[in-house]
Amino acid sequence: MESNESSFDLIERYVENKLSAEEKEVFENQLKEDQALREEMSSFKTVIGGIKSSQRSALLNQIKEVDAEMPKAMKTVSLFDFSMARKESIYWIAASIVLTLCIGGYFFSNQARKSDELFAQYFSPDTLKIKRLSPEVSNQYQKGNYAAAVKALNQLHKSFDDTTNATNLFYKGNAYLALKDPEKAIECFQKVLDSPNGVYKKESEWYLALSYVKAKKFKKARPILKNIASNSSHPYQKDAEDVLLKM
Amino acid sequence: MFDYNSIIEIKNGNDKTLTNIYKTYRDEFIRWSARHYQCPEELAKDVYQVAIVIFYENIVNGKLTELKSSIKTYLFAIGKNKILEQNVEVKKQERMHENFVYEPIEHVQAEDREEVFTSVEKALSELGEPCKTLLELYYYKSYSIEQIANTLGYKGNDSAKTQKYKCLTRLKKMFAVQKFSSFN
Repeated sequence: MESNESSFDLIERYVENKLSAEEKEVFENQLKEDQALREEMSSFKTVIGGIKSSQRSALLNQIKEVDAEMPKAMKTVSLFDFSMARKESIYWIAASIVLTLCIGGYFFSNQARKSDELFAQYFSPDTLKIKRLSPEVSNQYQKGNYAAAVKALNQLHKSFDDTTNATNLFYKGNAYLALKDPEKAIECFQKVLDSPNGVYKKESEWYLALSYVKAKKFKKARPILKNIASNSSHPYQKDAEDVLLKM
Repeated sequence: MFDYNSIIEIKNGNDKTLTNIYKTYRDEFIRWSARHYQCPEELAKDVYQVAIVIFYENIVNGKLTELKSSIKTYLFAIGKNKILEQNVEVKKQERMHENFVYEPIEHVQAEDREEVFTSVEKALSELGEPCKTLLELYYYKSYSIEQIANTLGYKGNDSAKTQKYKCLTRLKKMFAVQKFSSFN
């Protein structure tokens, strides 16, 4: 082996970590002293780097050729129009969405549990004034056939009598809550609160707040509950205080 | 369908196995990355192709020695890392596993990198055979001297080794020429 080749061989074995600890130390000292050796090492690494890089590209091109012969992947409706968004922002948006969903998902599941727990603990359908309801509705409601009760209520025409309307709405709201449909319940109770006469106002406040809790709209529930809690003549004052503490 | 044997086959130079793996999981990867990362099809394909190359390199350079999960899981993990690589914040937090990114080709300054590698690439293509294949087998596919001697039909290890040295020397000379010619 000529000296050039042996020098090369040493460099290569160093780079490949094939030198013993002693040999390595000797070589590293040599490197410090010998400029020519350093240059040779540098050019060696450059050339090897070039070989690796070009082979990597060649393999990638081979794979692309294989891909070109495959049938097209699928018809996708892409959420992001590629022509509009820059590559980087797509990934950043995607990654940030992923992160937000992860965080949001965790937050959400906590809130969901709280909402269900509070609702289960504090809701029971009102039965105080059901005698004012038409017998058919009252019958279904008492049996717990809330869907049938709602159906019957929906078939009633709006009465000239506000009290009757308010009664119907109030119990419809209750039935919806029993059916775990807080959105529709919210509509009903809000209408009762908006109506001109004063019946069921306090009760509807409470049930409206509960509906918001069930719907996980805690921000909307809170002010209503605070209002109730601060009202000593309110039938649900204590309950409202309790719920606020637990929220 | 593919297991550790496939990895051994790839390490022994069976390119067909690698292409079959590519074909098998491509569509699934595209769908998976669209669903989980809103990744558009073309980009998902690019990522997947790079992932296959990294997978291959990990096999031949010895980084992948045992498979704790399936090949598909490993491949998808590389792909996921590549997608998340784009987001610098996520990159910092997740501390990209070094086996899931391209092994850095060291030493060359970043600015010169492209130029330098292109020059070497040109020189390599002009080198002709058997040098081009020999160098490729040794430096990219990590063949041992013995394997090269067997594959290319040299009389023995020393013979193969000397030939390798000669090829590399020629390449260096040609590369130096390329480098200078690019300044003209």
